[in-house]
Amino acid sequence: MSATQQDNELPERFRTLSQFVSAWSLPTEQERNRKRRSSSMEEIRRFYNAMLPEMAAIAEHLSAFSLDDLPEKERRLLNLALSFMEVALAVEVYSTPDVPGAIEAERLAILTR
Amino acid sequence: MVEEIDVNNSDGSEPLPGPQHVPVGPNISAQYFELERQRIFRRVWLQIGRAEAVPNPGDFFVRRLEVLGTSVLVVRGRDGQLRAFHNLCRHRGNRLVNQPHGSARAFTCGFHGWTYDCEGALVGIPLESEFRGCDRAQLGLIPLALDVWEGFIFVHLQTSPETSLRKYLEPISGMLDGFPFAEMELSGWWGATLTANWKTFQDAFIEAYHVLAVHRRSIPDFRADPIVPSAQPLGRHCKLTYYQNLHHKPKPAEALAFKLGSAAFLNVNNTDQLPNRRWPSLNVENRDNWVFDEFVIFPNFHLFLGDGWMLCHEFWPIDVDHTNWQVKYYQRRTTSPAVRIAQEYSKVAMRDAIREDLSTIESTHAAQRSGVMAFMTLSPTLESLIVHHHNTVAGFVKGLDT
Repeated sequence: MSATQQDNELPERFRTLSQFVSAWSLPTEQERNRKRRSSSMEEIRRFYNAMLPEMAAIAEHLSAFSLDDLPEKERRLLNLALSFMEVALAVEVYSTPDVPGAIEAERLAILTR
Repeated sequence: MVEEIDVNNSDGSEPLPGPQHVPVGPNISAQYFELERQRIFRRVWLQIGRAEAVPNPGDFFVRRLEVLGTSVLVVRGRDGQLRAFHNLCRHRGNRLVNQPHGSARAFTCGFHGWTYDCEGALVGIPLESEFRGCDRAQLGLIPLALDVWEGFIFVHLQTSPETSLRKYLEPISGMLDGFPFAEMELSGWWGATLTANWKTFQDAFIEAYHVLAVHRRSIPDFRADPIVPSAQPLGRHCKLTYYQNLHHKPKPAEALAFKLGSAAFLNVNNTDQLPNRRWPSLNVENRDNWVFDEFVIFPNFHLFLGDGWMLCHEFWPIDVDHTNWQVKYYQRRTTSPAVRIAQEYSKVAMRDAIREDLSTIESTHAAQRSGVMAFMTLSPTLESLIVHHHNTVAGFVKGLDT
């Protein structure tokens, strides 16, 4: 198995989502938001549509773990799910990657640690 | 005095007052700003952070407070006590600590190496023999008064303020007993510096009227009942209660968030555990569609309390035309990944809505700055607390508040 495959590895049940790991499994709010804003709606929708039917199962799978002690694969899956919530606003609320009519994203510092 | 505004005028006794005219002069006058600096910010308790951010001896954070012309170092001593100091070395005044936060055994000035312990005492002067007769005990860090209320750290520029923090916060000081502050964990933290007067910045967050327009995309079905939130002046402070549309139909991700247990700020499914049963000062009207109470703690701290979350806004004037703002969003601490996922929805929705809130502030200030418009025309009900806040500022500036 190559290093790349290992980096993308998700729990077996969610193997089909591994194609999204490199782009969307991001550890910080800042990175997830930047990815959302720099993606096209087409790319966002492709990710959203793939994730939506799996979200309940993802939550259930992760519920066997504690946030304090997440294995690598589960951590990757969690970060995918967090990106899903980030883009959900673009798909369900704004119909565009960023927030229209809002102050420019660059002017709001995301300080979340 | 605590006065409820009777928006429905249901007993038909007192007619509602007409529109309120608030002058824009105080938002654009450098001279007025200087009075605000002297008579408000140098004379009142100011909230600068949470105690749990510095839990252990040696933990510290630094805040530059332009309005006081100083940088403040908050540090927990080896005795467990929190203290606040001006962040400057007593030798020649160089800034002592440059890191925004961290943990230290001692603080050593980068200029000549004078060293202070975590209680502020000067403990080391390199080549001290060349300072013969210098009394180290007289050269500790210069303190500000510091006190803590419900985990919120307040500082006061005077070392012995004439008013205690508890008394300053009246009648709010006892109102939040029992709110689970200890369960709250920092989840989102955002900031911006805008070209706007600090009051103009705050005004965007002291009414719900704007939701109809500013949040027309993010909250398109806003039909809160009552449409006028309960507004309550509380001495120099005030409180606003927000309601939502209970018939809101959540979209898929939002619905999932509710189901997974985020007590989100748009949560519509929490009516079986109404928080007013636990916190008597929140949702005092006991409405099913209560969403949060906002306490505006004079002069520049807005505290939003909802079921399972809180939001802390700080508005720090730089000068009459510039304000540094930051907001911290707290959610209930969890070890559950599912709850964490749910909370992320609330956080992102909150952040995006706040970016909408920030969209009007600079243009409002610029327009007021033009001098074309002498006053704002405010609703005595929908925007009553903006009037209250500006009146309170004016009272301090005139020297009426003691």
